[in-house]
Amino acid sequence: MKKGTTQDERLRVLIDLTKGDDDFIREMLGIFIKNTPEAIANLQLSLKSEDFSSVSAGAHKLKSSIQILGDSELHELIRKIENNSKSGIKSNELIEMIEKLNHELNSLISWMKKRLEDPKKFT
Amino acid sequence: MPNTFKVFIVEDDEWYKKMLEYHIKMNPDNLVEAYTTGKELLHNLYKRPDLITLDYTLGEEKADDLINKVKNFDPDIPIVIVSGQEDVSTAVDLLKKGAYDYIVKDEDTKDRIWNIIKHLKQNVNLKEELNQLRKEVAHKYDFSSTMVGDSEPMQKVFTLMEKALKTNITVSITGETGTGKEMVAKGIHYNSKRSKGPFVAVNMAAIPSELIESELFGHEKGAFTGANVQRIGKFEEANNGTVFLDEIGDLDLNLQSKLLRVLQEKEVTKVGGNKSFSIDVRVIVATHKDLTEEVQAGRFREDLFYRLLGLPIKLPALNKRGTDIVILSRFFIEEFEKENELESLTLAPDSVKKLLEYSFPGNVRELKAIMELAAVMSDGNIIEPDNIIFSPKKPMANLMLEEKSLRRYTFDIIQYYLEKYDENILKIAEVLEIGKSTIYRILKEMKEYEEGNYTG
Repeated sequence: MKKGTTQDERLRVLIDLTKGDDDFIREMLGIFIKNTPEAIANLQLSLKSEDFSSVSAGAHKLKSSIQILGDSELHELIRKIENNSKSGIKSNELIEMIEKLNHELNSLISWMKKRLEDPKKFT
Repeated sequence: MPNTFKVFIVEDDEWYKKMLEYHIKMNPDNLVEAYTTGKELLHNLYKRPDLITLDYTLGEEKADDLINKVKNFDPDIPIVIVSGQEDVSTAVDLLKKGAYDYIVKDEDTKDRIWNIIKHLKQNVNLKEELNQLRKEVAHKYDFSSTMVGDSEPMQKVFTLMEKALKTNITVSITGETGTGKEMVAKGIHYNSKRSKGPFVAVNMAAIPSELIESELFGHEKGAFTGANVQRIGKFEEANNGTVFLDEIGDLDLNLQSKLLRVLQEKEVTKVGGNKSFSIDVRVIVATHKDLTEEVQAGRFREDLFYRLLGLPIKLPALNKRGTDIVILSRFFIEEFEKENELESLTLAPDSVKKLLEYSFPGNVRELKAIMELAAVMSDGNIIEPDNIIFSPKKPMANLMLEEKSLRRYTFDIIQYYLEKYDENILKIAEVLEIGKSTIYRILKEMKEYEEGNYTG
């Protein structure tokens, strides 16, 4: 995650696209929190079994969600995973990138959960 | 809901599906149904969406297979492929297979999808406008082709009809039975701005007087014995369109005052109801009676008469239309040929002469029936005079419809009784109180007249 970004800036694209529709943003974060751990787990499992096409497809799906959130660094990381996995080689770089993705997404989800407890509207 | 636009989203990513649905629903005119699989999409195609957005990577289902299946169902449903990556060759391939557009999942998706919907809506509107124009042209064509006539009185009718198209003025059509009053009313309605609305015709003479109020204005449940359900009346049915009140001269005085109130206030109250509601209806009336005479005789309200008069169109009797009879005869023969896939028929010169000499008390309606029968009766491609069979009783009923010489009236009278008494000269002589020899002399003159040798 980009250092120094203000809290809600992590969701800048989503907030802009929805013109700050608080209810809808909360609903979307709920879906993200619900579905993303499974997506990360599947990505790791696919890597473990060296099913690189599934790694690529899983990264591809995550990429769209991250893009709409507006975190460009995370988006770039997923794009690299998607492209790298297409080579069909379990490189150290790929392993490290997926580990990093796992860490970043978990951190993002934790933040989202806390943020959802805060009644302050997304702006 | 005329302006709604139905979009089907097919996307297995819940997050993205929700987002796309949100974008599209930002315009409340857009209706969205979201599916997760291609199977669900195919199952619901019968609802005929205006647009399908299809995720390129939809699990096991291939986008191009789904495009084929949708196109087989209806080639006109546009499909937009939504993909997570920019892949020009894939995009081109899918466009070749019939996809309408290819968009990438990014922050610009919203604007792209909105533009696509905007263009598609414009296309839909253009198509609707085109269909409407086609209909209007068709109606216009009907107007000029089904109402045939070169005679001066008919040209005057056409001019008045054209004037009636431009406004909502009430039109009162007069003319004998069979002159085409309803056709004029339809011609005006279907070529006017109200053509998208209904045309509702009511024949006052055909409805029992105790039912006519309910027929025109509707009734509430329980308004009278037998009114088991609420019913809308003809005025309500014709809302935003035209109501055609045929044989208005037959409306009884009590109902005339109720009709006048409806026309003045533009509001209707159902029988048995106490609430009135607004209506927007153009009124066209017709009658074979002379309403001024009816007013003078106290059978028709003067105030209603003036309210209904509006633009008066008087339809001429057929026997006042000169050679229109021949034009119409040929027109009806051609129509009959087309309907029955017959070879081309022509009228023999003597047949034309026979037609021109007849008075046509039943007017255009009678001529149509006569010509259809003549087409059936003809053996070859020519309609001979014998194939033209007039109704035997009608000429007497309308004897004074045209001005003839006394001699011609005499011929008509003798002809009528010849047909009525199966050429029993003795009986005819008795009835007419003349001698048999007088009848034979007249018959000789009639034959000379038909052969063109009569010198009078």
